[in-house]
Amino acid sequence: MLTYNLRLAWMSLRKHPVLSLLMIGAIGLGIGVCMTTLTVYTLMSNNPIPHKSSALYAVQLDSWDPNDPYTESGRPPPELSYRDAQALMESTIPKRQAAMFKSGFALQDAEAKQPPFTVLARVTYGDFFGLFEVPFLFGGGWDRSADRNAQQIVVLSKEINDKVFGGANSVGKNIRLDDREYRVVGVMDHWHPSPKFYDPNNGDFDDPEEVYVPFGLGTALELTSYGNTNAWKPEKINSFQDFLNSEYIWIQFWAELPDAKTKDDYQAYIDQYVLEQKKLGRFPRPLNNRLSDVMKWMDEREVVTDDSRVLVGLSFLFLAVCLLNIVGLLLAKFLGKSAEIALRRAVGATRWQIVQKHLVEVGLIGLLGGALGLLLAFGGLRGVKALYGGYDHLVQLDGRLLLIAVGLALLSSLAAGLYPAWRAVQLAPAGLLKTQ
Amino acid sequence: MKKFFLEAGPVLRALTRSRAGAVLIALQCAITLAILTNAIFIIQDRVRQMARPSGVDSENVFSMRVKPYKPGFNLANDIDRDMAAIRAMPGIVDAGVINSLPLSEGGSSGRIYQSPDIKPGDGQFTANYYTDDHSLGSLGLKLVEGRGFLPEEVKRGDRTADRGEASIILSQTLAKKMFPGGGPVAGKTLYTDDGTAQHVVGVVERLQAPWISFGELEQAMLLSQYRLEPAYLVYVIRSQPGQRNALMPQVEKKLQELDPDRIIRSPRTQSEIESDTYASYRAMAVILGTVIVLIVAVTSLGIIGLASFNVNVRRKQIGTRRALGAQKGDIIRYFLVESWLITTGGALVGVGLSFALSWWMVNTFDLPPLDWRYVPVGVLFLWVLGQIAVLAPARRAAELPPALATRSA
Repeated sequence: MLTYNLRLAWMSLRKHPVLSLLMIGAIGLGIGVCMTTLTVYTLMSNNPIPHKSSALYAVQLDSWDPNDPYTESGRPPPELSYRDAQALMESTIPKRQAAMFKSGFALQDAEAKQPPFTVLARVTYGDFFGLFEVPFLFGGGWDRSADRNAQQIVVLSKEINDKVFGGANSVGKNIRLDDREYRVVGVMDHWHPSPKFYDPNNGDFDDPEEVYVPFGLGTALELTSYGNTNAWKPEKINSFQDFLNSEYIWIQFWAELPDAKTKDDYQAYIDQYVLEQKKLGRFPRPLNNRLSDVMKWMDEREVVTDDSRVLVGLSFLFLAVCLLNIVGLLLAKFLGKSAEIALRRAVGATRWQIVQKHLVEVGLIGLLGGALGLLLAFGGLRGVKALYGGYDHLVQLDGRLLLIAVGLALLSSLAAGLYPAWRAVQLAPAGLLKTQ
Repeated sequence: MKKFFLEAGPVLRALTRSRAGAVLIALQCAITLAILTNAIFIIQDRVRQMARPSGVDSENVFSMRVKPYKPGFNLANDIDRDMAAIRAMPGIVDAGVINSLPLSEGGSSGRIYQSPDIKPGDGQFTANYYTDDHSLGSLGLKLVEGRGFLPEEVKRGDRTADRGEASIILSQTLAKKMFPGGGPVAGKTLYTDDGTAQHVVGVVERLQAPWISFGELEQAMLLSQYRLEPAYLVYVIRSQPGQRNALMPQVEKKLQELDPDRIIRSPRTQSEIESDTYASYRAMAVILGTVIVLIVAVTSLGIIGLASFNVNVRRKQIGTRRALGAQKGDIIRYFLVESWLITTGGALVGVGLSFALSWWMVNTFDLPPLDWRYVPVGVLFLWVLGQIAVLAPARRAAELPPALATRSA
């Protein structure tokens, strides 16, 4: 029956090529526009570390101005001061924890044969790699002793290892960062969490840093943070030590809290810490310390832009216009076939069979339109990529989105076809047959 | 025209007989109007924001960063040597150092106050540009009052160097906010966060902050001091008109020759920086523009489709009218009136939908409410669209021979 209906549907589409193309085009455009905006939206709202996102928490302490909250909605600042980050690292409650900031170096091979080039660096604790499940090709991270002793060791990204060592195992070899020698202890495999959730500075879809060095080096070498450094109160900063002791916030802090109890314990711990600091005259604001898991953190940082949401909303309205259009065209087409329907009814076809026949035809239009829509979305995404620049990893169609596209096309075309098909079988066959 | 409206009654009555098609088109028109008005409003808003001048002579300014990598470099000496060399190059107007550039999305900010006795809620937000005595020339800023920095005013050094007392040059917007009473501004004193005095020596017509998302984009100032730290410094260079692209690689090469033990990075023109910063605005405008074109096309095709269908269905009726003496113009007018009625019906719903959509966007997102004037313009556009779209099928209807009336089906 289905093959028969499909053959009829195909014949019917061929019979009115212009009308069919119009309908396929309309569905295609609607789906194409929707899939383009939806793809950008879903990739922006992507969970960068799905199986662990609810156990990883960004730590926020409200160390801000007593008269002026950090945000109008009363959120605490997104980063910590150096002294608070150092204090929190003493806790034994989190399974893993890491303070971190972004910096940069000039990188050169150990023999200084090649000209140096600049790399972005993450200055962090050894727990960083376990915390975020960074995959390694060779070697691994470092332990707590390296954190504290400011050893000159480094973990390279795959890209840098490919560039400097041609992809070979470089563990144990040396490279130069700002003209100092560092020993390679690990080479990461390709790692590209998108969005780049662990640092609220700079682009949400930037690449991860290219080299990773122990946190202790940050102070030993007085490395400059490449992110924001914010302050709310005037402080005389005459030395790097003054800066480290100040209320300036510039350090990101993440903790792995695997269950509710650990989380509660940790919340109590950070609250207790702030209460103690209050006795020393710090933390003038009311207690407002927050632990946000990855998705909540993404939400607060507004990784999904308003523009993207507006576009999704408008594109679904656009799809609605396309569907209304198709309903109109189908109505015209099916009512135009009254005579044929009457004949089929007269020779014994039930109403349901005729509705089925029409729905198969509409479904075929939907599938063809969906295919066209995918092509258009593919082009649309290339356009979006070109327009925004730097969304390279972001903008691609995956299997799930392909399914959504086909499903959306089928569903919306069937919805559009229901009313015209129903109208078409309402006509009494007898009257129509007589005029023949 | 009078005939046009006289005919509306009978056409409307005929329309109510076969509603479905007309209602569908009217609904399409309604949604189209809502998308059209809101999308065009957003586009206009973005275009207007992109058109705001940064104050910098963007067409002739370029910048690059210098990263020395051998420990023990002397940045002050390096800068003096580099600047002298760049300024001596033919085609260069001026060159200087600054901590960041307008619209570059990275930089420093703070508050500035009228009095050293700071109370909560006082003062104005300002972007801080830490720079030297060549800043007006190297950025191409237009001085409207006072003077630029003098060489002896410039202070530089380690991390305390950008915190002390200095001379400042305000953007006009900031000057007006700080001195609402008007009058000369140069010679007055303002105060930064910790009550440090800052002496105003001049006002520039325009100087934007580095971040477009900030509400106070036009509030910025130059300070005659900077920190000697490579990460906080940009070389900013202005060329004679038209020579920028040729000079940029020459300057880069020159700097590398002067000292090979450093990396010259991110050479960029100011137009490039501004264009990159506005990329998402431009993208939004282009995407919405595309959606508008597509939706207008789809809706017009819908109107044409329905009219063509109606022409086919009404062949006999049209033939009869022609046989009874109706002119071709009368037939065309019938379709024009019908389309006008449908688009008007759609527009009535669409006006409400436009404001509803705007209301949703204002409440959900940080978007300005729709300017009502876009709505009547949109309705007018819809009417014209409806008339043009229906013209071809109407003409075809008018060409049907009156003899049709006598034939069956």
